[in-house]
Amino acid sequence: MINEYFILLIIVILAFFMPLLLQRTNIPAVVGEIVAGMMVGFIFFIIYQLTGETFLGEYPSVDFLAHIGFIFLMFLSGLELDFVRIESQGRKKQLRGVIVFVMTLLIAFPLVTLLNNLTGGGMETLFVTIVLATTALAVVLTVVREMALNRSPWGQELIVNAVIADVAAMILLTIYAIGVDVTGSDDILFPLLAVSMFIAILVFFIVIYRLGNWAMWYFPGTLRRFFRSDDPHELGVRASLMIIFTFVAISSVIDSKALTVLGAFLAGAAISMLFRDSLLLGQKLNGIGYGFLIPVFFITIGINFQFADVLNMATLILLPGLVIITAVAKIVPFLLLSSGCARRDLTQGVLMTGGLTLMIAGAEIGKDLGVLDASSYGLLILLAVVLAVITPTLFRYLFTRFRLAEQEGCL
Amino acid sequence: MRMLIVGGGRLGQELMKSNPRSVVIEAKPRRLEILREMFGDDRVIEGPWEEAHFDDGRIETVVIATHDDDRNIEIAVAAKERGIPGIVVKVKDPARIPEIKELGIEDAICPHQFAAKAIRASLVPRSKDLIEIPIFPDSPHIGKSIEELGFGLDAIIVGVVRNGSILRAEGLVIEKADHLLVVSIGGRSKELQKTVVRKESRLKPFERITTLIIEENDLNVTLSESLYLARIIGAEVDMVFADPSLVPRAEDMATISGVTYAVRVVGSLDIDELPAAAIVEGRDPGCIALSASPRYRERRVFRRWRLYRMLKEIQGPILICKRRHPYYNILNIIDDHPDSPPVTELAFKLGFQLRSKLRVLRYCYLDPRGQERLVDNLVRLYGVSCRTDAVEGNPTIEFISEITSGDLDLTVVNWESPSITHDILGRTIMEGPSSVLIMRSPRNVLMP
Repeated sequence: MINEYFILLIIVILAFFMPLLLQRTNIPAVVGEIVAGMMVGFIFFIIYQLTGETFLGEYPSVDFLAHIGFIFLMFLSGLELDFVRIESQGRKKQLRGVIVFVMTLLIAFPLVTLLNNLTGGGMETLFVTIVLATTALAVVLTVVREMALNRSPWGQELIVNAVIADVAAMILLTIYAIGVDVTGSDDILFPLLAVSMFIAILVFFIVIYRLGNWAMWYFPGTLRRFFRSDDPHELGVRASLMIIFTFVAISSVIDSKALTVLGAFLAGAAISMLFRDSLLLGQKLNGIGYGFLIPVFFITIGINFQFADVLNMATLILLPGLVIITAVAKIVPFLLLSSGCARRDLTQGVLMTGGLTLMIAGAEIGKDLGVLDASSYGLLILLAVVLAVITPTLFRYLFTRFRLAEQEGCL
Repeated sequence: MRMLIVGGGRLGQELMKSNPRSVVIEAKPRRLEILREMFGDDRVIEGPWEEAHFDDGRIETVVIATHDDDRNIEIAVAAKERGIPGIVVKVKDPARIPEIKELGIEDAICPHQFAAKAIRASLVPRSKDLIEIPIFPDSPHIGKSIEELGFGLDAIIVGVVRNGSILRAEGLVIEKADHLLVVSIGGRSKELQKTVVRKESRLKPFERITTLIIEENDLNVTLSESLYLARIIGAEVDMVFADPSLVPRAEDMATISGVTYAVRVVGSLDIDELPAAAIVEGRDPGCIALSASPRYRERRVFRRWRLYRMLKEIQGPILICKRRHPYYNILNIIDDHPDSPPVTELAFKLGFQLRSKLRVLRYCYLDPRGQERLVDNLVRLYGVSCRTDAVEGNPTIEFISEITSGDLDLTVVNWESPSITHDILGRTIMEGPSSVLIMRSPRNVLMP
């Protein structure tokens, strides 16, 4: 069996080389990391098939790092929320985002149920519907920035819609998970405890925001240190970690992964809401997260990917089915709520299809809750990877093909 | 004309000489003796001054010229109360002149100022000035040739600074953001500057200040600050009253300041009716001025949505007064928001008109060099003293550090600025020491 440090070495080598290999493509680095991990896992799978020997064992330290990586990923997703943009879009646009999300759920749910019945699969349809409704905010942000759309009203709308879908999906996933925990528990006090913890996290979010505002006003000199590049104690990073783990610790009281995810996400959101445009602090936290912990999480997912559970006919039929359902559920609402430019709406729907981070988070939560079996879990991971590869490329293609940048009134 | 002079010092004596119908009051025995020798017993009254001296109904003018400024002001107030038509007060400290004018006494003089003026005047014929006159983006001179400006024989345009280089003036057509280099003799520089720059009607940040006066305290805070601003930028003041009994005092203050004003009484000025009260059909309310009174805190006037509604309905700036005028130091933060540069330019316009110093924080990640150039252009264009830094850390915290330092008199902010959360803006309004001017979607953009 391979030593724990060698596994870590494999992970950091892959983490280092994958972005270099992918730099000429438009594929998100995250996808590269998962695929690289899958390749390693696949090699061990083949070796196992050929020799019957298992090289991979249990690696609690790596799993722990991957779990912290997951928490960091959710935290950084929360940190990416741009509240200024959401506020400046006005209520109409915000409401439109919510309506799009609700319509996505309404379209996806019957289609997922139909597919599930046709394939005789054992998918938990409601849960899968919520997971399909997520959006890859990080991918949207990257694409919008790369294509210099972030200053155009349309670019802003794209980001706001993605943010609303992300936040709404996160809340629904948590509520669903608590629901499952509560119905599955024999303890009479558990529902009360679960709901209290959910409320405690929301209250803590408000407390952090209020306290932060107060501290900013009365102690700007001290808080200034949080954002300086030359602070030897990196107080900003320490304060952020303190906030993250307070949220995570509160949510771990009932041992619910969904609540932990929500906690980490809200920690990021609280910091983003308090300290608008904190590039330097964001860079430092990204350094810890995307530099080490998050690749560990994604590569571990790839390595632990159970090919045996996914490589069967039923699952392989489900994958294209889910891709089509996700695309339909994401694109149709934009077309129905047409803004007068169908090509633009179609292009927007394409970019919104697929929720890389949250889809994987959803899969993790589902696996933890027991609502997803190994094959459904693997299927969702594959789906996230496939969509993350297809959608940005297709978006770029359609954007150029439809000449959206040149069409007046479209942007 | 019978003139009563209080104080028989050198000034008093000179006045006595020139006006045979004048009478002097003097308290010092030695000086009293001299005065009696010079002007005779019947033109000299033994002091100290007391109110009874004003009982003589024949007095048309009183000149107060003792050596004590406080005493002079006290006597002037008494004379004003007695209704003496002509009151002239001498003060040693020129800084007290505005205070006297606020009391409704127009003629306050400082002999030192007069002396300095005379000395300057005596030096003027020999002086030569080289001045730089900016051409603002809406200047009526744009497109004209240099020769068309016609300064006369005692001034000549020797060159034009354009895009960082100096060009010969002959035959040039004036463009926006040009700086004319003018050599003049005989102290004409100020006058020339006025003839070119004063034509900039749109240099005014706003045409009108609508001042909301709800209680007595607003006279000293909101109205006083609005009148100061209006007087300098040449705007009108619309006074909107909740309490009609405050109208006469406000009118007195407006008359003294020389600002064109209009009065409107709207009965009860409920907080929810603020925007409506400010707007009169077909009349641009300009800038809405109101105080940051604790009463508003109780009634949550400066809550985000209320301010937002006001800014949306009025479509103009809102000035929250703290009685910080004159505005010596103005703060502004410029960031990536598209409305940010016009708001910064407004701060420069104010700085230009009010002769204030500007502090501009720059926070930009899209085009930091472009933003730096923009601020440099504004500094060059408006010729305002400006300290500017790029923010390295968090813009909100840097903004708060500046605000809470207490050195600022006015903060000019863009409502949509991503760098300032509306909670922090709320605190800046309620707890910050400086007055705050909030802008949303500024119009009349004059970017160079």
